[in-house]
Amino acid sequence: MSSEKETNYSLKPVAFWQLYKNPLLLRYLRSRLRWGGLSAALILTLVITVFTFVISYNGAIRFSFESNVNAYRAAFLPVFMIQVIIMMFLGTGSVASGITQEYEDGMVEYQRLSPMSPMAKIVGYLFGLPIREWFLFVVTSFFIGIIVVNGEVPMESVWRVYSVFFLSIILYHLMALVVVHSMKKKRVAGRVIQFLVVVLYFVFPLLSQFGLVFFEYLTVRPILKENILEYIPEGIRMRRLLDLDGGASTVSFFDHQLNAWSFSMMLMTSLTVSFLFMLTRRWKDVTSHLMSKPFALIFFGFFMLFLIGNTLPIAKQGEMSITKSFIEIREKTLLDRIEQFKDRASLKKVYEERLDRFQKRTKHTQVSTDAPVAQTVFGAICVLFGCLVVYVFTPRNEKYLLGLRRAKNLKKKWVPIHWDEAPGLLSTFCVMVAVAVTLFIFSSTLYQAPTMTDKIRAVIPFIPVVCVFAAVVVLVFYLVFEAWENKGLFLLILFVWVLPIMVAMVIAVQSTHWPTLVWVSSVSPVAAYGYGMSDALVLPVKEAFYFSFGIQVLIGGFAGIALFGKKMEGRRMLLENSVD
Amino acid sequence: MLKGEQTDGEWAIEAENMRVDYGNTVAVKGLTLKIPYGEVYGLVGANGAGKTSTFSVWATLIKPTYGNVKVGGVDVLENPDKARKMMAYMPDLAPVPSDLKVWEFLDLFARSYGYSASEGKERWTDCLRMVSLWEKRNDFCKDLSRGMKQRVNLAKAILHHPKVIILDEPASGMDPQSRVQLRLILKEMAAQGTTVVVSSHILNELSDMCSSVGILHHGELIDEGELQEVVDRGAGDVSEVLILVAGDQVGKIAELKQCIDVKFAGQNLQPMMAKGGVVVRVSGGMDGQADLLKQLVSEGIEVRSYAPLGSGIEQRLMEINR
Repeated sequence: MSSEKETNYSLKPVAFWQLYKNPLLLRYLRSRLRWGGLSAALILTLVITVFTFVISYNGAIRFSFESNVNAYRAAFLPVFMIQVIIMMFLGTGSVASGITQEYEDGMVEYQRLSPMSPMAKIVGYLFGLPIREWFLFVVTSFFIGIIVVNGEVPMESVWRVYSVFFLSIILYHLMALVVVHSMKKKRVAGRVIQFLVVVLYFVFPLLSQFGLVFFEYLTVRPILKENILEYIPEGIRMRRLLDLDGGASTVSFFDHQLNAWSFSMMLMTSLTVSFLFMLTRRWKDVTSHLMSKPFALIFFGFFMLFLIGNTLPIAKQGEMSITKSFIEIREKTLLDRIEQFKDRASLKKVYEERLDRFQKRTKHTQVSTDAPVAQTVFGAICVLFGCLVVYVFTPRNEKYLLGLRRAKNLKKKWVPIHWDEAPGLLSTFCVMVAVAVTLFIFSSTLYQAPTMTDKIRAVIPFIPVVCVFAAVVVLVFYLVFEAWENKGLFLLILFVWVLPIMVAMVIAVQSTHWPTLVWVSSVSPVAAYGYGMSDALVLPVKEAFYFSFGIQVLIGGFAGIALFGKKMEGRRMLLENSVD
Repeated sequence: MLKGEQTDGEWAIEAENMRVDYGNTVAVKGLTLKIPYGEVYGLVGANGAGKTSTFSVWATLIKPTYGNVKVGGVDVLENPDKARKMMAYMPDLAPVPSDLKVWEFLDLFARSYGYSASEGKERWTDCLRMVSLWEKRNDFCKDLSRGMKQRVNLAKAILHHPKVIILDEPASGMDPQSRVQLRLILKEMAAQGTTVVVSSHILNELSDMCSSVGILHHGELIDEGELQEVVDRGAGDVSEVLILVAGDQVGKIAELKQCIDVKFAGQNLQPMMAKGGVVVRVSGGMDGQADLLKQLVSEGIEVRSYAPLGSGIEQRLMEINR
């Protein structure tokens, strides 16, 4: 060997912050920016961006009679949308498919063996996998530069928008890495990511109509609304995308009013740090859970804090109503149209008549009737997220047995509770308490708001029972999962959570026998939860709620017994087989 | 040992009561083993014996259920990053990336270990020449033959001058010439102080290469030591011996078989005409084989060749599996 005198032990692998010499980044600079593959994407991006820019600019001048400065500003949103598509959709897709390919090639295992720190590996993949998209982003930024300079958009606004945009890109790309690293079927993970991006960008923000604004801040819409909206000419149609719900763009967080930038940065930074923790864990040990039990509890607590911090001020003011939001949006749209056609009498009259009809139809709508819906949505989010966290930290039986052996070797009687291998019962109790307490605070505040009628306030005594019910649903989820793992969970969700509601829907379209519908649907905790807070007197909703409560306890009881048996069997087997 | 090199601890690999489980399946059970520096150590065993699981723990890819493991004196559980600097692992059917050229693949890992661009280039140039793939440096890895991919991975494994190289079935897919080359490279590395741990299904090769072996059976190390010692310990019972005779082959072989059937009936040799001669099963180990040869010669049989079938390790393994 020619360099046999060399020793490698004094060599220092790159640190995570030395991005410029990260081997993984360099690897993707080579493989993903080969001219053959890049040229088509570059030409296509240039064609689309130039076309969008020219159409927006000229359209604003010719059809909206805007000034030169305003015409440039009119092109900001369309070009920015192209950047969003490149980075959020294509970039996230590239991260997911790229890391999947690395798994299929066996290169992830090889990377585990390299002495680079987990953080250096994460950073390398995070910026390396979507390097082509970053390149295209830089190319489109040239047009944004022209728009900002000629459109006289203040640099501070641009900085605020792009700081949040960069952070959200990193967040979504990290999410892709987390999903692929945590799923066994890597090919499926790619599709899950695409689905998640669509849900996070288009579905979850709709929850803001219920007052759950939290999810909207995972997108760039609020920051655009706060910083760019005022520069977009009134006549530009895309402006409406940002100004759908009108009003100020500040965020209520308990008793504080935060601006969109601060809240977005706070939310996204905390999620980014959480994802980095998860990935670091996985790089250190491929068999470890994404989150340790203590970290999962902190993460869940943090999520609950954000959720309730956002919603409580809205609930306190009695403004948590999807109907109210819908009415406001619709009224605003019609008023805009009347303003738009103020010089064309016939069209103006049509919209005035529409507004009149709409106002007559909705004038008796009460915010209070929406309270059970808002409460059910809030409860469902708490329970589902609680179940997700439980799913992450609960060990499979195989892992539990491994922990038991390890513990026994260390002369411990039980698996220490903070180990990944330890049963998740204690942590599940913590999640249950967090779910119940959060739900109780939210529900109490919601139903005591000044806009609520006495009739709707009659359900207040049921709030503690419903909160306990929600916690029990989380417990049943845990027991079924630890006892029968994914198969049991599949059966629980299908036959107990979903199917009863589907059957009830069939009954609803076949007959008008509402009591039957209530009884059947109440098997599902999703429906039963709503019944618990319902004030209907003519239907057996309360009985159905307690019936469902009984079913949950029964399933939980069976699962608990099965789980206890399984654990005892594991211990017995271990004792019998232990020869070491 | 490389000149001036510091080593942590006395042993290249130390495993103490190492256990690996997959659910209810025990892959490795209480493995205790020490391998000195500069050794070429063969870990042999049938499929499912626990070789790959053992290697995976040593290579820091998986954690054992319990037990202590040190590589180059570094605890792989306590300090995996440091352990990784000291070792290289080449898995069975070693992977290559589908989108990189050969030199790019090696450069990626050279830089991952901390080499600068110029040092890295110097290293991968040396390594590519060593495995005779310099001419292929600009080819895409995916376009190489299986044997070449193995050689690229071998080059990758030796890039950072590891103290310990762990090779799981390194010769699979290699042509005979490449195998000889592999053997020479590994022997050369061992001569320089690197410890090479290797598993292979081509047991003859292990015999040629290894100075010591360990035999894994159902997750347990049932024997280990210097190669000849292990073979001798296992040669106690039955072995197959091929006897070739001089003269007209077909006629002489038939005569020999008949002779053995009649005159050695009491020894249960179960003679069979095969492999161009007569194969017999001899009990009594080395002494039994020597006795039989003496008897054949005294009976006037012109023995041209008298050779135990299979390598020493192969016979030992077959006995274990029987």
